[in-house]
Amino acid sequence: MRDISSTVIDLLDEGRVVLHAAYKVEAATTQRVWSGYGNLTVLGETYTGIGATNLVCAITSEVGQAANPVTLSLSGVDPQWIPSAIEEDLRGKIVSIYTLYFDEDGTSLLDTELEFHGTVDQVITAFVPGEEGSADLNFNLESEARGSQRSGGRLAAGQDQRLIGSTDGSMDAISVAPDIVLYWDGAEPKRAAVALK
Amino acid sequence: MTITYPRDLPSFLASRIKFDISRNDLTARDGTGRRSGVSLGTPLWRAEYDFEALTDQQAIAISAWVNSLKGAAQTFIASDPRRWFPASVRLTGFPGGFTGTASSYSVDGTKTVLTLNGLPAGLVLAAGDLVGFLDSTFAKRHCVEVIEGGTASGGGVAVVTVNPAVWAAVSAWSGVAAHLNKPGFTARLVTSESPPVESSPEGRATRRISCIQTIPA
Repeated sequence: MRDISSTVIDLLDEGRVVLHAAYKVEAATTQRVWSGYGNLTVLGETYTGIGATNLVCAITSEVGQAANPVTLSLSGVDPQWIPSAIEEDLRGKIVSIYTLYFDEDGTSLLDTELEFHGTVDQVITAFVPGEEGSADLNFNLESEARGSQRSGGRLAAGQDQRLIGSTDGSMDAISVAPDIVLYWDGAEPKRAAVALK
Repeated sequence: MTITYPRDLPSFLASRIKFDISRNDLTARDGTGRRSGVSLGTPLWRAEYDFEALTDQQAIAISAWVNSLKGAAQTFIASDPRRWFPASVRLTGFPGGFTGTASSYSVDGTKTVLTLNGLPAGLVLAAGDLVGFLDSTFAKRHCVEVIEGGTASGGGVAVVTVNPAVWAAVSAWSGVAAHLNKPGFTARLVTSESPPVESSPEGRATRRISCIQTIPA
C-alpha cells in the first residue's frame, strides 16, 4: 500500500517532481546505492550515489499481476564499481527498490516509497567494447509474491480449500476445470486451459 | 611532460559550441491541455565543440589530445568560451585585482539560491553567467548558470539564483570554492559522437568533441 504525501501528490499533479531511485541488497555487506551523486540518507541509512539515471525506470507493473519479475539494469555504471557489487554470491539475497521523490530542483528528498521487495535470482555483467560500448550490471529479481522456492504457476485446488474448511467442496470443480477436454465445432479437441486461453 | 588530468581544452578556438544542460524529462498532456510529468535523475551539462578549418598540424594536435583521454577513461575540463567571465566584465576584466575566486559561498535549502562573498563591490552577475566550483586540487569541477542575476553589495556579497543546483556532492568536496573565471565542469568524452578528424583536399580539417559531465565523488 502506498502512502504518498499530499505535498508530493500536488507536485506530481503539477509536474514538478524529480524522480530518483535507490536500491538495497541485504548481503553480507549490505549494498546501498542511489541514482544520484554523493551520499544520501534514506530512511536513516546512507546510500552511495552511482550516477545511474536509468535506475529510475527499473520497474514495470500491472494491476493484478502478482509476481512480475524485475530486471534491474545499471548501464553506464562506472566499471570500477561493478566488482564490489558482485564480489559475493547474491542469489536469494533480499532486494528493496525505492522510488525517491525530490522537489523540482532535485535537492530536497520529499518522500520515499518502497517500490519493489524481492530476492536476487541472477546477476549478469556485460561489458560491451567499442565506440557504443557499455558496462552493464543486470539484476534479475524475483518478487516476494513468487513464494518460497516455487517457480511454476499453481492453481488453487479443492485440497487447498478443504484445508481451510474440511467440508468446503466449492473449489473441487474449479481445480479440475482446466483439464476438461472441450470438443467444439469439429475442431481438434483441446483441454479447457488451452482452448479458453 | 607529464599529463595532469583533467586536461584543459585544446587552445584552438572552437568555431561552433553547444553548451547546455541535458535533462531527462517525461511529459504527458491529456485532452484538456493539462500537462503533467516528471523529471528523471540528475540534470548534467553537455557540451559539443566543433573545430573547423584546422590546419593539418592543428588537426593532428587535436587528435593527439583526444587520444590522450583514452576514450572516456580520462577527464577534461569543459567550459564555454563565451562565458569565461561574467558578461559585465568580459571586456574589462575583473576590477581591483580580484582574481575571480569568491572568498566563500553558501546555498539555501534548495541549493539553488547562491550567496557569494568577497566579490568586488558592484560586480554584476547577469542571467546566463556561469559560476564555477572547484576543489582544492583543481581536479573536480562543477558549474551552475545564473538564472536570476544580482549585484555585489558594498561588502562584496551577491545573491543569485542558479540552475542546476549546487549539489550536496559538490559542496562536500575538500576545500571547495566558488569562482567566476573560466567556470567549467569535469567532463568525459562521448566517444560515439566524437568522430575522427575529417580532412579535406584543401588542407582544412574538422573535428568534433562531444562530452558529458561527470560529478566526481
